[in-house]
Amino acid sequence: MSEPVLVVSDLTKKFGALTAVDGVSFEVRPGEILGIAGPNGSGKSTLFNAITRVPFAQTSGIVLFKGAQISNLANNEIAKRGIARTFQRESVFGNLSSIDNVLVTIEQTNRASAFAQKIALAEQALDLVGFPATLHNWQAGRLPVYLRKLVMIAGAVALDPAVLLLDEPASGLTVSEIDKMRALITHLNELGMTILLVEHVLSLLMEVSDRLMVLDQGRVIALGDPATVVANPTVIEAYLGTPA
Amino acid sequence: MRYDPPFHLTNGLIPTVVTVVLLAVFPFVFDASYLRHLLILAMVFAIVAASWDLSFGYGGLLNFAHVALFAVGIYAYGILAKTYGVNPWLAILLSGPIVALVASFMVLPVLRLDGMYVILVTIAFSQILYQIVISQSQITGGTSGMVTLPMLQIDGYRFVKDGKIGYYYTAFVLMVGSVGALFLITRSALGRSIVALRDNKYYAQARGVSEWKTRLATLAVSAFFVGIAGGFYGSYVRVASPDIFGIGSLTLVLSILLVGGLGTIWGPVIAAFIIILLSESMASLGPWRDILIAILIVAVMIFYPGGLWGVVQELRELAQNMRSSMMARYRRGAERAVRQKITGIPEQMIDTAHGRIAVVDIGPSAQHAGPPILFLHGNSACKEAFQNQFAHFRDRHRLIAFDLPGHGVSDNGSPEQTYNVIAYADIAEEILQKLGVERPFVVGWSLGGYNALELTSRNPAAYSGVVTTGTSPLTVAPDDFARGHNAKSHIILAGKQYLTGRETVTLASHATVPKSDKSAFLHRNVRRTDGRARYYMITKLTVVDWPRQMRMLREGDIPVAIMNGDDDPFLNHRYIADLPFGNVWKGHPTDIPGGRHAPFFNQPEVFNRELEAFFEAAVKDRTLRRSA
Amino acid sequence: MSVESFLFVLSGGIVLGALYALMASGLAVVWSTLGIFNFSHGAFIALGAYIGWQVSNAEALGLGHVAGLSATLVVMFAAGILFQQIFIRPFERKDNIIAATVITTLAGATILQNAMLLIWGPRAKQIVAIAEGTISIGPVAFSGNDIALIVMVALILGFAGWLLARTRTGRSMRAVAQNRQAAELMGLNVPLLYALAFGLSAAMAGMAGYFVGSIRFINPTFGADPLMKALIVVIFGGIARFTSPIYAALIVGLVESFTIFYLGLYWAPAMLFAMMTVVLTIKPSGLFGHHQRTL
Repeated sequence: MSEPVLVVSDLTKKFGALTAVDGVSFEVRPGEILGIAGPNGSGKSTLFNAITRVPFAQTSGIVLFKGAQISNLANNEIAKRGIARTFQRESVFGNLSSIDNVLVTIEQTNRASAFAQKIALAEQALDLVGFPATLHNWQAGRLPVYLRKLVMIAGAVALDPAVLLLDEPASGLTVSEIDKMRALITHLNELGMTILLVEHVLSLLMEVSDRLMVLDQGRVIALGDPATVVANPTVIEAYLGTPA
Repeated sequence: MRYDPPFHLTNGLIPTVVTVVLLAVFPFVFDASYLRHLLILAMVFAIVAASWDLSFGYGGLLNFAHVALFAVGIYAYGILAKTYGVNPWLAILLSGPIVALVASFMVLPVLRLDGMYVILVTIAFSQILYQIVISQSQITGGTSGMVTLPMLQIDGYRFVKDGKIGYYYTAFVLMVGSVGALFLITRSALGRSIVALRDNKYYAQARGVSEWKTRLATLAVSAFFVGIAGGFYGSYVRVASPDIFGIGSLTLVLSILLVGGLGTIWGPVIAAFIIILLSESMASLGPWRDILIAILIVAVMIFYPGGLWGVVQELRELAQNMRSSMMARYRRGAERAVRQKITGIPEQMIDTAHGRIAVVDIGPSAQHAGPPILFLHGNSACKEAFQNQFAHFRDRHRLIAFDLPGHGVSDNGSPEQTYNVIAYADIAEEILQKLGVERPFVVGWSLGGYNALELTSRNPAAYSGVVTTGTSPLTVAPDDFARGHNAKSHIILAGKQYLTGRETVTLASHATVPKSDKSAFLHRNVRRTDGRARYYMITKLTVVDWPRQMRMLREGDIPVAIMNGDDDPFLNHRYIADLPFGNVWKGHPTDIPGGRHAPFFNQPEVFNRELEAFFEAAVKDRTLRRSA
Repeated sequence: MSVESFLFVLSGGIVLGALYALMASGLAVVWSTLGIFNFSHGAFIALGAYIGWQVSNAEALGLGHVAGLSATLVVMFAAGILFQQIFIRPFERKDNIIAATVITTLAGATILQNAMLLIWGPRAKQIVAIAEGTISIGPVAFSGNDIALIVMVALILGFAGWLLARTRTGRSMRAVAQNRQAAELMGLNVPLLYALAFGLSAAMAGMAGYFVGSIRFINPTFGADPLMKALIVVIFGGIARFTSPIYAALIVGLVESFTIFYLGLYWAPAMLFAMMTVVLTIKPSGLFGHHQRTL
């Protein structure tokens, strides 16, 4: 088996007395889609935050990316190394046009030197995620939710990432949009991107994930083949055990 | 397709050139040296405010030390030029980097803080600078400041001579250079990073934007220009006074910035001239002057939160509205005969809920055996676009066409209510009803195609059939609008409120044909069109009930013909071919070879033949499927 | 340093601290309730001093200190509410409220300052000492005025603290400070509470102005320095509790007093601002715990 592309060991994030992520360790194999599930407040987004250091760094623990430690780099350096994340809420640069949203990302990298080439790369990223070319000049803040999500993912793709961290890409989407999002995730994975997927839409998670990890109260309570994991009594208890 | 024409191809060029030329020739026309003095001050404060806009407006950094940095620039000049005897020109030049260096000390606290706290820490920083200046009296002159700073001169020619003309042109060059540079910076990679960081800090970091580098660059660049302005100001007033650190000058520059409008660069430049001149013209009023200016500032903040730049935009819109509606009114009377010669049909004005609308209607007559036909023209065009159809069909059909509001010789509408597909269909309904037209065919071109689908989908049974040409039917806006059109075309211009001359020609040429004697009136109508009609139509795409239109097309309650130029530059032909038409003539869209975006105009013979055949088929059997 | 001079500097620091506490607490009430920074606070202090002088001073109405203080209190409370209605209210629900109110309160300060110049002219005024004589405590003689100031400031702060902590209205104000939406849902009259907070703040500023006016000369720009001091104190102490700025004020007063003694007059402000910058950079919420608003 090939070397893991991402190794997270004993990652912990504390907010005062609250431990949101509590000694989480796992490895991600190149090319896989690792689904991450868990009840609200189980630390899924915080895990992404701590790995990418956006917006905050971990309290302790180490993250290795392609064998090198990245957990001491600045957050924008981590992004430029090739770990791109998206956010639960459709974050865009509202005052920039859709294409400038992606262009900004290209301009942080060394992927191209000539301006025309940078624009070509930005267009390529937008095309890849299926963003309509006729809306390139629309102000991103005025786009509907699904298209804003596409702009956000195109920005991530523009980093030419090895690992893509998708935080609830399906939240707020209609059923048909979720289908399109599923196809996009699969497509990005086929292009060679390793994907960590946090998602509440379980059907999506089950269909695309190669492995599934379940968090509860900041700890990993199950990790493995999706079908096995969802049958795990601990997982069922975490979701249903305590009546709401 | 990134559409971002360089400055010299935008509408900003002419006003900028005019202003620059006026300022450049001003000293030759007016000899008033006091007014010249005020203009010099205004130009200095234009740099101070515009450079502040980079960090405050674009960067969202509430950096209140900017005016103190201006003061530091003055002192830097004073110390360099007077104490160390550095050449005054070099001293001005060095003030820039020195002040940039001082400003960079702020980056650490600014990075760690947000909002209000940035205001407070930068005010504290300016107070520290102030305290340093007044405590180091052996260097800075303490509370009494520094006087008789060296003045600018070249080869013994003192710039203050000839009514300060030397200073005037130096200030002029510095202002044009600084504002131009700031403008270019806002459009550069750095400018995009600055805005990205302001819009969404964490997202920007997750996309590789370095917060501290960008913030540092913002502060340093912004400070560099204010440092130069300070250095020049020092050489001009020849005094470095600690008063500049005070709340008075902070209020002055802040009011220039906010009254001008944040994040615009140009707004503060305009406001600098207005506020400096206004405040000087009221100098005799004593304390009342400051009171009046303060009231003005508060009033602007309450009633025009976007500042003067917002007012300028409103005036511009007003001017466009007045120009286009006057053009319409003039043409309504003066060119009536010309239009009738083109259309061959008399024109009448009909009052509707959306203003007076110019309608052509040949009226019912015995020979009109076929159903009436309603023609709906497209964006930035007019009813005369269908002249070839009028000539062809007038003998057998009653023909109705009208100019959309804001187009042709109809009135301009109120943008919010009138300039959208729903209102356009309402107008068509009203006109049909007023003229007593029943069961017409509706032929819509481009935007008119959307209007036609909106109109007929309300009650398909009331229409004999619907034809669209140059239109991509939608289910979801704006997603399908994007998919249904070709990105490489000039579709961006179709929703642009203000077109430059070049853009007008481009839009007209792509929407119809290159200019010729025959198409000249279509070109002329792009200029007449109320730009708000373009802008609001696009922004209000989302309010239309598109699924109803698609449902009508799919379920086939009405005979439909889709007739597009096979070389239409705007349309995505693949998208249209794949739509689920339930009752489309021939079972698929009809391509008109060489029709481009206006096949009825460019290929009238083929188009009219096809249209006639469709009419016949639809009249014979409403369900085209059976006859096909 | 002799014990005498130490105690002298110490007492000076405490008097300064008491005045700063009064200025800063008023500023903090507005900041913590409305979430904005009032740059007119200095002008309020000056206005309070002028009104006090007008009513109390023999050259003017000559009604004495009790009338002077009462009039200042009442007029400033009303002026604060009026000010809030004109300069703050229109922006309360706007996104750019912070930046907008910076400029409108600066403009408000300009208007007040120039109005004071028009009404009372440029000549400096002074309120006569509130208490005469000196009181000796051990080797140090305190002026009666200083003692009176400290006592009255303590009384006013105690009363304001009681208002905010023990009365229903005061507690409502704290609720609004923490979450406007929630407070509205609870049926609190938010506009009224905002107006009251501003009125209270202005009344406290007026009192501070009265006291400062009894030890320094009053002129229209006389509020500028107190504003800066109040700003330093508020940043330094934070606004977590009503008492935070009071502690901070004492520290700032003492630091100022000792810095002047050791390093000279000009160094004291620079020292204070440097301290403030360091505190802000290291602990933005101030020395005394977490602030409740994220601004």
